[in-house]
Amino acid sequence: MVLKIIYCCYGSAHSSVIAAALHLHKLPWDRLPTLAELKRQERFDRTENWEIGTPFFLGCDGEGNEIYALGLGPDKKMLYRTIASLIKMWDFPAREILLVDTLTCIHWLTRVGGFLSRRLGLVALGSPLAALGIRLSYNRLLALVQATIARAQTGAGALDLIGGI
Amino acid sequence: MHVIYHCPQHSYSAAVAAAIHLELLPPDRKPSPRTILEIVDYFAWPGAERGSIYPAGADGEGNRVYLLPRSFSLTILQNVVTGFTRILGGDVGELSLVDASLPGRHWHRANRLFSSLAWLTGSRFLPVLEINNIYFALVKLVEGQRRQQHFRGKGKWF
Repeated sequence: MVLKIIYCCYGSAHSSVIAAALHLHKLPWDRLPTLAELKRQERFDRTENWEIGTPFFLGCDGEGNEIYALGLGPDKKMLYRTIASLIKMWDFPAREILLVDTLTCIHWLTRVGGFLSRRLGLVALGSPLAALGIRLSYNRLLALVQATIARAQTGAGALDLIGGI
Repeated sequence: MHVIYHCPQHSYSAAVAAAIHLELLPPDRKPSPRTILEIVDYFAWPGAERGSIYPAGADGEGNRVYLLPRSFSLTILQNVVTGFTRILGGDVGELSLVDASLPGRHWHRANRLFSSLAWLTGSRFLPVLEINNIYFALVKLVEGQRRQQHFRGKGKWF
């Protein structure tokens, strides 16, 4: 069964994008990436405020699962209910969707850097801080991605937000 | 066609707009406050969960009408609804997301204040007062919505 795996964070600019890149093997699993490698990732620190809530398709993994990054903003519980309602409304099999909350793994430096870069527009200051925070939480993100892949391989996709919502 | 009327939960405009759409309320005269409250309770709006999409019924053209109580942040919700409709294989052209808090421009700014006051006081008077003032703007919004469906070739409005 092919799943749609959606990594969720606040603004779909940092942790969800990196988790998706890890899932797609665009970042190394055996060492910490450099800050330059992190900043080179597609959509890293790119999402504008008006784009939050848009699921960004970032590629398909080896199993054919579709990988997305999504920002849910400040009210993720509300949007989780909206997604659940839409799945019913469009009669989509809920087992084929996997929502993964990457915020549970995030380092506080990423939050600060993300706020400075995305909210205040201080990109030169915020982007390196966000990347540094990602580097510090890299192993936790990798463990989350590995758990997600294991879950997807068992075909146990569900409308659960791994990591807890 | 799926028509979703949404507004902040502590306002009643989405429930009333859906009722106008479904011809449960008249387009040519204002209903009494009691009727408005009956409609709001009929849709179980006060107990609804923010973010959930509730079916309200189907209109004469077969369009399905829904209610969506939300928080004040609108852009993210709109992006989620259209984005997920696409990835779930739905047709965005078959979906109409209608912001029922838009009518009554003068009231729009006061909407947040009214909603907050209603929430703080638990009062049902303030949202009803708001509806009383924007009722015909809501009628206009619904008529515009139905006309739009006609132009999309889905309805038989005229």
